[in-house]
Amino acid sequence: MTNTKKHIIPILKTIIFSITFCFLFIILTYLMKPEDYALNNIAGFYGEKKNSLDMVYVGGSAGFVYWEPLRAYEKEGIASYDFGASTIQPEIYIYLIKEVLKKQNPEVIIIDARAFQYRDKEQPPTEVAYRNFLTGTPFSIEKAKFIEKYVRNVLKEDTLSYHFDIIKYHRKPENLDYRNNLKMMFQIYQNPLKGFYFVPKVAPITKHKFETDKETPMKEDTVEILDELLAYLKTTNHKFLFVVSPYEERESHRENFNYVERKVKEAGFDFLDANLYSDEMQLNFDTDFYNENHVNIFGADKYTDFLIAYLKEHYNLPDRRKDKEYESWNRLLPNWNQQVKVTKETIIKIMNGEE
Amino acid sequence: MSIVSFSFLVFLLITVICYYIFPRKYRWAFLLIASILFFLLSCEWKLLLYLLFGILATYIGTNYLYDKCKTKKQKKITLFVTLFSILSILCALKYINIFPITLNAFGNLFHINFHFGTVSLLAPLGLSYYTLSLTGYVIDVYREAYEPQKNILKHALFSCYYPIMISGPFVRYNDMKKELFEPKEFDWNNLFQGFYRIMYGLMKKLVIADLLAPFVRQVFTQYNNFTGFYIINAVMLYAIQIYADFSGCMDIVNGASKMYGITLIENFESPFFSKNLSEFWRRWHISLGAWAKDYIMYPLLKSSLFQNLGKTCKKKFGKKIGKKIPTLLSIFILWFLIGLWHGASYKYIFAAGILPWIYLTLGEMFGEKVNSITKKLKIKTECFSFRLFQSFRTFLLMCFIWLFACAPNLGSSLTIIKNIFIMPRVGLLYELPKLPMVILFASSIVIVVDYLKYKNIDVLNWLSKQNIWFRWIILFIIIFSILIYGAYGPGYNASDFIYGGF
Repeated sequence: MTNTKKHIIPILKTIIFSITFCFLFIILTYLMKPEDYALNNIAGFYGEKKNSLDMVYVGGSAGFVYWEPLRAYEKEGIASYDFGASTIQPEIYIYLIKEVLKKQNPEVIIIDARAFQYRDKEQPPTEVAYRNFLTGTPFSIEKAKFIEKYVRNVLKEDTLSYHFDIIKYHRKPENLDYRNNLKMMFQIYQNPLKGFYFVPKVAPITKHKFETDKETPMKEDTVEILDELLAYLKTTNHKFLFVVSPYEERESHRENFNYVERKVKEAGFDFLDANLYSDEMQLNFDTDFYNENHVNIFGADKYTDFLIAYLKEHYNLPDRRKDKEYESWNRLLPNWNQQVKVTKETIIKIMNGEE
Repeated sequence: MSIVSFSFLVFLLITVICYYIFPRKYRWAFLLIASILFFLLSCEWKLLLYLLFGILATYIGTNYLYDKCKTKKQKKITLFVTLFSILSILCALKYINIFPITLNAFGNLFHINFHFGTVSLLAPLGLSYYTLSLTGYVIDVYREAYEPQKNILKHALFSCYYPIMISGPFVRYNDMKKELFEPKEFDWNNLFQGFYRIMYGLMKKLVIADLLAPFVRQVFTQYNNFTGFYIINAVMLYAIQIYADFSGCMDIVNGASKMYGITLIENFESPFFSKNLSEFWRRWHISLGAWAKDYIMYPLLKSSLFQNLGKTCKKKFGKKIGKKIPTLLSIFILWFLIGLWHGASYKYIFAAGILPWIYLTLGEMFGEKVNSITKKLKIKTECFSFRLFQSFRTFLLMCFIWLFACAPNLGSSLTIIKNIFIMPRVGLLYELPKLPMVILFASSIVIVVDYLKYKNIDVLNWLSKQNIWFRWIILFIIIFSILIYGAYGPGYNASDFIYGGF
């Protein structure tokens, strides 16, 4: 055997082995991802047909328990998706928006602005906050860059288990859904609620009355994140709307939002603090929330209707209801309405003291 | 850097590539660089000073001894000074606490609280492994078994070749000289076989040893709670754990070394198939046993003190018994030192030192009688059932030793033995960590491989003759069983190697 041949065959074998290993490893990585709504929401976004969404709502629970994509579709034919998971941190926005723009070309992207306020105090970055998103997103250079930048520097953790989350999730086979996970791998898993999450609870909250124009910036690193995001958004030539969804807003929060609003508007993007329109929405602070930070389905209905009107007024969102490409959306509506009905009935029972 | 980490695999990959890129003649120099790098990545740089001292002391000592010492007396003094310089560091770092512990325990017997504090000293990686290897080297040079190494860098590489710094094996300069310094040809077979071996070792460590560890640990830390057969089970599982842990480590070490084209001696030869304890210790931690015999037992037996003792005993007790006394005494010293090597704790001195010596002495005293009884009872000895009985008997005797080794201390081991005879509470099983079935699967692979090894079948060679699809399936099964079931990642800190701490 010639010297070259002596080496070429083992090299080829090594390459084929490595490729086979990588393929099996990726399958295994997906199979081992634990089933939860964060994974379903995030991975479900990748199952949407390319360029089929006219609006994407990026954020945390201040988005995906508020905006009802299927209600918006049923009422006005708006094709949208709640691309979010709990405890979102604003530093992840650039990465998520890049992911959105890889797959979709929406008329407008809504960004949940509350993340900037609660990052400082209520919900600082944690492993769970990052993993909620990173577990559902596919391997990419952008993802790797985000992990190296934030997991290493903010969480100060070893990054390997974020790049390859099988390191974190192996040996926990009790909450796996192999079929769904395989669909996620091939990006064909479809979230039947388009990212929305039902919470069958109710709790009265207080509506604080205050008026202030005072601006208070967030902590230095959060402000840097905002600046970095705005600088990035300017490069994209897309429309972005920053939204503060209704909750038990405090004066200090509003001061933060005033600061964010000015910066966002200076950068040429839209800003909407929905708390200022709670009366217009006819939000009932006794029945429409499930805790001080989130609406329940009654509140979500009102918020969605309000935002639909706002979007129709400010953006050019087509009605997709009669489009053949969107027939699958129509098929989702009966299940959607059933779940809305059941959730509302449960909440009413809770209010009546029956549950 | 732990050798069961991803970073080690990356380190190995990079160093193997660089090693073969280096000119053949100087590949050994690259290994020295890699070894120092590994040392620095594994412990504080300041601890490198201990290693440097050991290298310098033995380099100067052996070369002085060989070149300058003309008389026997000069040679003896040089030998003593050199050995003292390296062994004193080992003793100081490893055994300093045995004095306060002993005094405190002694005081407690008489209800006196001395309260002597213990000292926490950081020991460099592989301290006892490189010290004993260097000790053997110095003694061999003294015995003129070979010339000392003249090149200080080559001497340094022999002293700190990184795969053996983790948990051995104890190597001899004569065996390593050719392996380390002769130019190595690149051979794909070495890479493949090394990789297989590493994966097999990782499976033993992460899928067997580290999954068993929580179960065993819980029983032995709560020995008043888990009584009866729980203790028996736990000690048997500990036997499997310690074997999977140590031999797994050796597989990784030998596999890594093989990837550089360097073959290390084997430290295990299917010990659980041994017929008796003597055979077991010839198959378990082989390099330690061989080292102890060559550098402790034989020199003792050859010493004038023991020769004279033998003569005196023969006169007093007759030829047969008189001959045995010096042998048993030298074996006692050997085992006592082996026990001490395991750690500065009485439980190790007893479990790994005195108890094996008692076993061997009893075997020496009653072995022949037991054999004659077996013959009189007409028990068939050349059949599978008797072989199985012999292996199981050996295993049980070793379990008794390990019971002391895994107890928190010598005192508690006596309580544990007492607790074996107490009926356990109902429902205790639910308080213990679950043992996944994969342990059984992985252990079956280990048993098959060990059996083939026992039958002198080279499994890696056999595997390399199989079709590629078969080899790959085997490899994928091993790799994916580690990835899926292995005890690694956040929340599963891979335990340190048990023998790494000795």
